[in-house]
Amino acid sequence: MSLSMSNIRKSYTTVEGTIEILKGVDLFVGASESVALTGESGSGKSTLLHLAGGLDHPDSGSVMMAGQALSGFSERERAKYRRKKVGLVFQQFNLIPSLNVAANMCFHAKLADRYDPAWQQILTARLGLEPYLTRYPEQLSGGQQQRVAIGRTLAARPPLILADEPTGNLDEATGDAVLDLILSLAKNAGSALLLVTHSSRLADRLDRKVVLQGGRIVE
Amino acid sequence: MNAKIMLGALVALVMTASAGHSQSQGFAGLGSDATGFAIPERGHPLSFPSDHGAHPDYRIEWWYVTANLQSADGKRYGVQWTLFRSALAPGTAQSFADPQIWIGHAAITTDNHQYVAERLARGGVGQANATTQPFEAWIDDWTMKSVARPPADELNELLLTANGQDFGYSLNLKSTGPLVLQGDRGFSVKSADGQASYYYSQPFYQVDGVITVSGADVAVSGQAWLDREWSSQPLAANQTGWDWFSLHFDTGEKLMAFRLRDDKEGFISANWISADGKTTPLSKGAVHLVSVRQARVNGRDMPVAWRIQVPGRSLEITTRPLFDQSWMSTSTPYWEGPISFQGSASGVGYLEMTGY
Amino acid sequence: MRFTAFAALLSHWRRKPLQLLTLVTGIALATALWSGVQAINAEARASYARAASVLEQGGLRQIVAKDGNGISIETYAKLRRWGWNVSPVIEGPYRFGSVRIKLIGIEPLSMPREEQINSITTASDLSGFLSARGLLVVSASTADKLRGNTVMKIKVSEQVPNDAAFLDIAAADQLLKANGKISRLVVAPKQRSDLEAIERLSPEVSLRETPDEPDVSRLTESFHLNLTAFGYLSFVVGLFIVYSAAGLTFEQRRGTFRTLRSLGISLPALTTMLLIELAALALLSGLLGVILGYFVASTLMPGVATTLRGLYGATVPGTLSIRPEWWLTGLLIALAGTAISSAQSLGRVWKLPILAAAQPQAWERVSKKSLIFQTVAGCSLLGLAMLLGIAGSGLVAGFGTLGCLLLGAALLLPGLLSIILVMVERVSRAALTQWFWADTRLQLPGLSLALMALLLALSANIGVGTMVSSFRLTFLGWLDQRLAAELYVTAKDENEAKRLREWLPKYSTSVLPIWNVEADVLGEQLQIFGVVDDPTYRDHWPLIVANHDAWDEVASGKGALINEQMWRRGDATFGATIPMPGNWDATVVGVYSDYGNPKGQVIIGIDSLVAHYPDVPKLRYGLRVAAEQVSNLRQRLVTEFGLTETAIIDQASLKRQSTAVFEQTFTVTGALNVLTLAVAGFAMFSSLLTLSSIRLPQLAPLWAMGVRRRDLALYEVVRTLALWLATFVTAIPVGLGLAWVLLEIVNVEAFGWRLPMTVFPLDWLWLGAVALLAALFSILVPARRLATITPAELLRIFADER
Repeated sequence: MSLSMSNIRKSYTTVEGTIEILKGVDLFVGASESVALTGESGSGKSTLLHLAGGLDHPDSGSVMMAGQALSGFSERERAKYRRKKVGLVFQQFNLIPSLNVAANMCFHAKLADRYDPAWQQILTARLGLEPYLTRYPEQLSGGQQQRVAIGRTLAARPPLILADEPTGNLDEATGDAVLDLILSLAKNAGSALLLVTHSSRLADRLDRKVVLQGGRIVE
Repeated sequence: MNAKIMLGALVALVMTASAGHSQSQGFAGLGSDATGFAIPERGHPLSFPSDHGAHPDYRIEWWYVTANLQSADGKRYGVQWTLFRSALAPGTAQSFADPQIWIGHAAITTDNHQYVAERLARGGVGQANATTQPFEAWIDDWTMKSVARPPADELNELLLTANGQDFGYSLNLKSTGPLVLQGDRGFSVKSADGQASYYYSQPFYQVDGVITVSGADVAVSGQAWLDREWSSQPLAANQTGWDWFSLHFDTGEKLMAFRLRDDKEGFISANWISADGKTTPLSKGAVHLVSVRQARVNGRDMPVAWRIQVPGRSLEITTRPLFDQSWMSTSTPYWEGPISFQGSASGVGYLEMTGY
Repeated sequence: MRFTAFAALLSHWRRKPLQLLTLVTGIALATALWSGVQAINAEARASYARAASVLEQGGLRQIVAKDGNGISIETYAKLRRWGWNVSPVIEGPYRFGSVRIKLIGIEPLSMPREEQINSITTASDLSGFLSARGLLVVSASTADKLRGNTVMKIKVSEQVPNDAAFLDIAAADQLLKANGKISRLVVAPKQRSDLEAIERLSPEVSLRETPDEPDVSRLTESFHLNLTAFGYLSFVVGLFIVYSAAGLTFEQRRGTFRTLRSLGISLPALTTMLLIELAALALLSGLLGVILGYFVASTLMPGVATTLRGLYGATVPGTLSIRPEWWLTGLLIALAGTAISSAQSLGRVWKLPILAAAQPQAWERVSKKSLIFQTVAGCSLLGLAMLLGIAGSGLVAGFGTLGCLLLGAALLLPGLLSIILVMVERVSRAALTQWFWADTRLQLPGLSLALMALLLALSANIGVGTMVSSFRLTFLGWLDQRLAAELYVTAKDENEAKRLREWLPKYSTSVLPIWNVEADVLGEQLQIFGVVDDPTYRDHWPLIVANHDAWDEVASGKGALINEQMWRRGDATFGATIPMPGNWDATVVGVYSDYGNPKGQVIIGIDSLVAHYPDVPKLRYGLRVAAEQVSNLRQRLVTEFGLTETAIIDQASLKRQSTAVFEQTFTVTGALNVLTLAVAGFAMFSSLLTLSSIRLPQLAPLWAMGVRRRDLALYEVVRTLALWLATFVTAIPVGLGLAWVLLEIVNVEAFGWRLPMTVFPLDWLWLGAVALLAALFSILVPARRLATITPAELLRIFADER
């Protein structure tokens, strides 16, 4: 399934007035393709990612997923889209504090009705999380938490994985290892991947790289 | 004597009136109207022993004893025992409905202290009364009781007791002379307008007994004077008070003299009593009473020493109180205390001053 | 520098006005209810003391007759003549038209100077007081009632309590037809030192020492204890609010604290600033609370006054006077409460390492250890409650049991709920359900104080409600039995009474005299009633224990019945012989229930009553008559016999009056109950509001994974309702335990009667509905906020650099 965004515009109202963050962005991510989205701080990378995930509405332009336009979705369909089609990995704060690691891992998969114990076991092993299954998020280190978040997304096998600086909180070695995991597991699952990063070293390892600057794709 | 104190009685009862209109009603309301009460009449003979008891048809009445006493060591004392009767209405009734109010005053005067006590009671319940045959006048545990043996007059011998905070006494009184009728055979005029009372005395008591002051018993002896008086309106409305003397001369003679003060020249009356009990009323103008020393007593100036002159009898004496502050701090307060006198004659006596 | 730092600290409140409001409201509510109850109690106690000193010369010893026949004038005169400084009083109830008044006839001439009534009489118009026409000295409101009902002169004195009149003893003697029988003698404090002993002088009277406190204040003690208990309960519930609010503000300002300290503000300086801030807040809120408390008390006071009059005959004004000591204690309690509930938070600031990471968390995950500790403490308290309930005695032990029961149950609640939640979570399969329960358990520490407060309020409601309803049921049944006569008549004097006795038998089935004397039995001044031998009593009179021939024994004059109060107090046992006033003995052959009467009571045969107490007033009668004849007889009594309308009262209106008094008794309790519940509701509201502001990070991931905002809001509502439900269900057994303690221990101690407990599940449903409504209300604002939050706000959670 492919993601296609065309002529996306988005502005925010802040204390300093209205700021237009995206000024007509076109972006295409093919099925099973991995795309790195880079740019400076405040260039609108995260905003674009959120729009792709159906978390927010663009002011204008269209977001198409597998040929369907998100703009026509009701709130319920939007939620269903996030549940079934999208997997999100944030830099932090994306685990549910009241659930332990095992429950967090399978949470999204169960919501998406794609829970597969065997697949989850494989993932757990690949992510090295077996020792921590009964722990709670607050009892884990940052890297461990991020691995759980990635595991939770991959366990649901979404057609589109959206990752926002997933390794931003990790040291370089751990970050590389986590990225390897994401890439190989996404390939295995056949998911498309849109990954926001400011590191061109990481971006280079993906199929393609686009740069966001001044609210437009420049490269 | 004592026109005096009736005041006490009235006092309590007519407090509001006296506070507001004392000028118009005389001291302690004694000048108030006597509607419904019997009025003393000249020429009405007194009869004993029945007149020793209460006369409830008259508004006011008292049994009044003052005694000049001395202990073995020569220390002088004054003792007062008074029972007032004051009626809200004439007559008597059963139990609490009785309109008679009784008031007792008792005092001991030393040369540096005045011990005072007061009792109030209503009639009809037996708490206070004055009866004859046998004679007794009492209020609570204070009593003046006849111990005379018939056929002697009931007042010939008396037992007198009273007590208060820090003091008490028990005295035997024995008379050495007859009863003395004051005024005109017991009809005593109290104002130029003719207000009058029935008034008789027994000035010839020899006393012995025990007084208790501040916990110490002291044996005493001396002489005493009893006044009996009853009336319904003894004062004229414009009379505000009086100065009253009872004097025992060393010679055995007695003098009773009083001056009722009013808004004019006042009203003076006096009786000379010979040693054998014959009385001679002194005519108007025969007695001169002049104050010779003032003392500050309880916030007011009072004439505590007097010059008494009876030119017709070549008498000129000056009195001196045993204690300047002989103040009776009762519901109706007044000055009452023992005095001694020197001059053309000497002796002891009692002075009472009201309305200051 | 200091000032700048202080300003920085205080700026927090500008950003979080709601938090400030919560804190202030918490302190104010806690102070309000506490000081409101104190105000009521203080007013009532002051009024007892005033009434006792004025009406009964309560500070002085008294002499009373050993039998019930009063003291003779001769005895009085004898004591006076022996030097006893005593003053007679003739007193009793009297009716001017339809106005019932307690007449107190005093003898102003002998009344000890120390007594206040002297200023009422002597200082005023003594001759008027003593005049033949008579003068009544009464309060302004009594004067209003009396006008037009008497020819006597009326004088108003604010020192006289309502429904009482001072008058001269002679007038009282005449009105009350006392025939010179003196009710009691007041003994002046100053006496001769060499007095003869009173027993030697007059063996027929006895000297009663001054009670430490007025009779009525002892009688009403239980009532006030009851109010005080509620006051404390509300206070504790209020402190829960303060505790959680204070905790939150401290946690949220950790960052500020750290910054201030790293900028050179010393720890003592920081702590001092916080102390000043808290003290200022406490004083401000305390002031609000005291004002609020004044209004609460003013609103409740008329009810309290009615209750006290109905139940104990105590006269208390329906208004409140402002007492400085009450303001002061109100503020002190606000300070103390704030100190207690923020001590923990302050302690944490003190221990805060200067470089600790600022982690704004509203709660810490309650460690298993502390949960276990809490649970153990709760169990121990429950055990202690049981022990106290079984082994303890006395009112204080009763309330101790209540306290332990409530606190123990409250402490157990969080542990209990956690266990339940863990179990439910285990059996849940669906991801969202599992999350729901897990998340509920996560919220528990933050909510547990509010839930505990709720449990206390609900249990108190159920417990007190059960007690009152049980009481009502028993009381109404008892009234039905006891008020068997169809009509009750009161003659105006003995002559009319005599005529009544001759006239009545023609028209009614039975004429039941209701005669009584007041006398000293076993050291208590109580009423002795006489009854005729009539089927009415045999069939209806509610006996708790009795010989099979009890009524025969009573009729024969040998037996006596005593009321439950006397029996329970252990004054007299069943079958015992008790010495009766007037030198005779009676055997206790039965015990009867006698609700609403604080004192003991004895019933004997009418013949022995008249024989032993010939002066007994014979004015009141109960009439048995066929139901259809009632109105007829009533009419005849007025038109033919000439009795006044007000002298006749029928069964129905008597029952109505009694029931009204009963209902009034518990109005105040009910009102306090509702207020406590309201405070608990507010505690819940503020906790939920607090939690909602820090819940976004927990909920945002779910939203990102495809759970709609409105579903999240719905879950919040359902969670709150689930917690309320669980608390409510827990409250039922706790409340029933409470009711049991109230009925079996507190009532027996306080009133002297025991009632069967009856359960009223419908009342619970009603309470449950109210509680549910409150729950919905408390979650409404947070849930609405969640349902309408913008995606941007949620997204910020993920974007925020923390």
